[in-house]
Amino acid sequence: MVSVISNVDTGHDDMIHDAQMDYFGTRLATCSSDRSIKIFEVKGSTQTLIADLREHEGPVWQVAWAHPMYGNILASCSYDRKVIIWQEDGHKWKKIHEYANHDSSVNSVCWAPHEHGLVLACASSDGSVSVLTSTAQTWEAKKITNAHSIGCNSVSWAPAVASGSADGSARTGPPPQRMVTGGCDTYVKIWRLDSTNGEWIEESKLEGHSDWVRDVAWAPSIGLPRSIIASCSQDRRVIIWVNDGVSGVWQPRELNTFDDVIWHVSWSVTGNILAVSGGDNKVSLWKESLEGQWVCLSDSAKSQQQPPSEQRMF
Amino acid sequence: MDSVSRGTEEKWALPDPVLLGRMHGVVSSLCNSLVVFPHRHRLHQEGSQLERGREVRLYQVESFSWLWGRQARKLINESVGTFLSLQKIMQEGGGAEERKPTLVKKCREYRSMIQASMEESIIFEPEEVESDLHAYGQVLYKMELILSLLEILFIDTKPGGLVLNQLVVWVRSHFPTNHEKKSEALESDHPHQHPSYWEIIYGLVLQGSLDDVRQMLSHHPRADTDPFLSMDELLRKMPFYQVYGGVSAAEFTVRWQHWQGECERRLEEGHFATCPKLLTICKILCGDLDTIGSLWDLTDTWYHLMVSTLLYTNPTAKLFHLAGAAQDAIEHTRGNHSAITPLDRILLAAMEADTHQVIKECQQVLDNPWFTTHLTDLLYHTFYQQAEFKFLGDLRETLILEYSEVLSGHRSLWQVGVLYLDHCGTSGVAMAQVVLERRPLTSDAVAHKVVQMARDRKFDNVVMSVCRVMGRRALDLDRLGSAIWWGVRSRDAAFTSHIAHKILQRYVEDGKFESSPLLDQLGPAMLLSDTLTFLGKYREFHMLYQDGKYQEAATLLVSLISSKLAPEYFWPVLLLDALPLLKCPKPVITSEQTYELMYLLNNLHTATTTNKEKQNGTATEAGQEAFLEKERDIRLALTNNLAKAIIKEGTVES
Repeated sequence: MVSVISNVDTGHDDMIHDAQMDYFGTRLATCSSDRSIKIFEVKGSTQTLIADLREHEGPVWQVAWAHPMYGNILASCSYDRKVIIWQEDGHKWKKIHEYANHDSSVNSVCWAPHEHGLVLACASSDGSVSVLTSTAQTWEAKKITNAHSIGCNSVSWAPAVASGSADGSARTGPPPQRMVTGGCDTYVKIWRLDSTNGEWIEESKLEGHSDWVRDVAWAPSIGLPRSIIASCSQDRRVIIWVNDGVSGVWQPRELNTFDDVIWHVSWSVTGNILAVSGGDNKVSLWKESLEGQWVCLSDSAKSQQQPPSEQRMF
Repeated sequence: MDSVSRGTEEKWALPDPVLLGRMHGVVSSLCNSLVVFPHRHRLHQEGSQLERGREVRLYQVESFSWLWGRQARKLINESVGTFLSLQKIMQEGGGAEERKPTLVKKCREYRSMIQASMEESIIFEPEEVESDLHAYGQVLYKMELILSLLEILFIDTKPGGLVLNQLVVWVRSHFPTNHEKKSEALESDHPHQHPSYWEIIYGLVLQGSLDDVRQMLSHHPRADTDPFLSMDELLRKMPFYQVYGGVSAAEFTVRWQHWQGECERRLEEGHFATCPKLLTICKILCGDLDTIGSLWDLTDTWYHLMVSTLLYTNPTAKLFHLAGAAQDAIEHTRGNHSAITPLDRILLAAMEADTHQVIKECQQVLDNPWFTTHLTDLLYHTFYQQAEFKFLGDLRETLILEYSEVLSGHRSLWQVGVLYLDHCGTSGVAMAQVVLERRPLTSDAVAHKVVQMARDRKFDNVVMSVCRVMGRRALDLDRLGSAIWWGVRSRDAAFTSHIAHKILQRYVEDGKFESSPLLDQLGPAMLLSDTLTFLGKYREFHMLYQDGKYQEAATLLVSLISSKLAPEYFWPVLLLDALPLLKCPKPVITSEQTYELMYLLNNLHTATTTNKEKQNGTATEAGQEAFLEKERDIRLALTNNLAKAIIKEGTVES
């Protein structure tokens, strides 16, 4: 049985492009075409607006929360080519950094796992990806130019797990930095930071989609050596890429072909459930069964009021 | 609270015109909920798509199950106890035979929990049938029914594998109406005039409660006549197989067939010709399928019918006989009419010994993994290391992970979830870390709890993460003592140094120490960072001074200075602290130490005069100003002390 436990008027003047919960699920940030970012405090089934941030000069495409050990920090990116980093100070939110070094719309921002420090990746329509690292005084930027031709739509970091240490005990050496990007060139690319020279190298190029890749998401790891990435595209498909951690090869498996473009894919915190949202006006939840098949858990769909059918009974 | 209307089987719809055509959702943090909002394509178009007068709303959607009800709380807490003790005992090893009594005991514990919960829910049940509580009670009944059957068929297996006796007990305990009615009838003045008198008797026969049948019959006015006496004898002599009775199955079969033969003979000889009701009973005893079948509505369900049939046709039935008998019973009771219910499928799968199918069917029909998790765990241990049941290992782990995930979203049951994960292999370990790390740290108490649980499991990274978050929060709230405390526990040297510096700078400014009790109890933890060590030692110096132990205080102070632990901005403070010690009537600072101080003073003087030209504007400037004023005093005191010290050291005690 599914029910709505709460709803709130966001106060946005236009549709929402992204909504993200913070690390503990206690705060929710939304961003919209109305150029504003709104932050809500979530307690059980109530949501209260606590901040309204207006600095962007265009629709805000995505927001991302940093790990709480750095304080309450939020990043946002917009059509106005800027990336803004905000921090909560007392009960006020202040802009602590603005990055305006892209030539066109910045489509996606994603914070790295906290083990790498306070690091932010930004993907832009100018085809490049910037990686901003916070140092004592300022933010250093490193660009991967020409990551995807035509434009880069999404970026997502790999979890920071050193190979072979699934038990959380002390690791030997810092874990390697990796991220995945999806672009208008239909490719999904995996990048690795070369620790010797600090440059980003393209580690893998995954072909499978036939149209612009709209979103990529690297699944949280749960102790297994394998890695999973979900990607969705204008070609109406969602593909699950699996790397068993041994052969180094990414195996694609098509989750499903949908009725319309799929815009977002996001993983639950444990990496068990994938939420897929698209133009077909459905939100579907998918889970891997014991046999390795991906099965749909439930659909939430709009429809006219239909009479409720019988409760599922024994 | 809006309810979501349910369309087809797995779809739900939200009535909101703004959402129309635009719904998007993200899975929120640990809680099992979904945030749904109206979305717009990422194409820049001028103008808002929002119609006038409408609002853009966010919805939080959650799936509910009986697990979150108040009544289930006890069930959850009790079952974890049984689960954990079962794992513990199983770890001690032992062969299948040694494990069996424990498994049976644990299975019965689960059953009694379910029953207790069912009884409690009945007490509170209101009149309407549609209520949630009623549904909950139904679910519990069915779970217990399934579990008790599985206990008979797989867990509490008897030597020889005969199952019928246990099945008869099973049926009797789950269909108690007959016995209740019997008691009711017997309490009345004329039992044989009870409207259901014969139905009760037939029902009791079908349940093999032959003593009760005889008791009922004895109240019949014609109980002294031949037919009744003959029947009484037959009923009295029906053999029942005893597992440890010393009689082999084969021998029992012979006796039983002999008895049934006697029943048939008496039937043919017309013993019961005068009494059609007794005739019917005799036919049942003879195992006449038509007769038994015609009374099936007294049995209410096909499985009851199946057991009744077997009782009088095949009393030495074993597990592999059941599948066929079940199919027959189902066909008889359903015909082509009603569909097979999920419960039917589960029971049937059990009788076909298909444990995989049983669990799968349960999973599909139950809305949370409580039952399947505990059941699979029991079966896993029952069939431990048997080749055909290898799948149970993986299935068990998957279910435990699922169950923990469900619990972990709850504000108090998450701890229970972690306990299960301790017995779930490497995936369990990893999931436990995620659950602990993501626990909202709503208060110090929760943070301590999480840290404790992480520590117990040696999740150092989780401890570090939680302490860092709490330390950061304390810093943001300006609770520096608390921040240091968390910083130390997180083993984060950089962060701790940062706070230690803040505390020292505060002291330079206002001369007050924040949260001194916390600082004084640092102990060996202060070695985490140099600045912290200095801070700790400096506090020690203060304590010594206050206690009047000037000699020790002086030694400490000088060692602090010479060890270069002290940050530069703090040197003036140290020298100013030295002043009263230098002015002691009896020299407490040796000449060596005085030289050290002088050296420091000179360095500081040079540094200060150069810095003054630079105009820093930091807080340390306040310290510098104070220092320069006192510099002359310090020089004088140092010189005097030097003189006194040299004299003292040079004097030979006579």
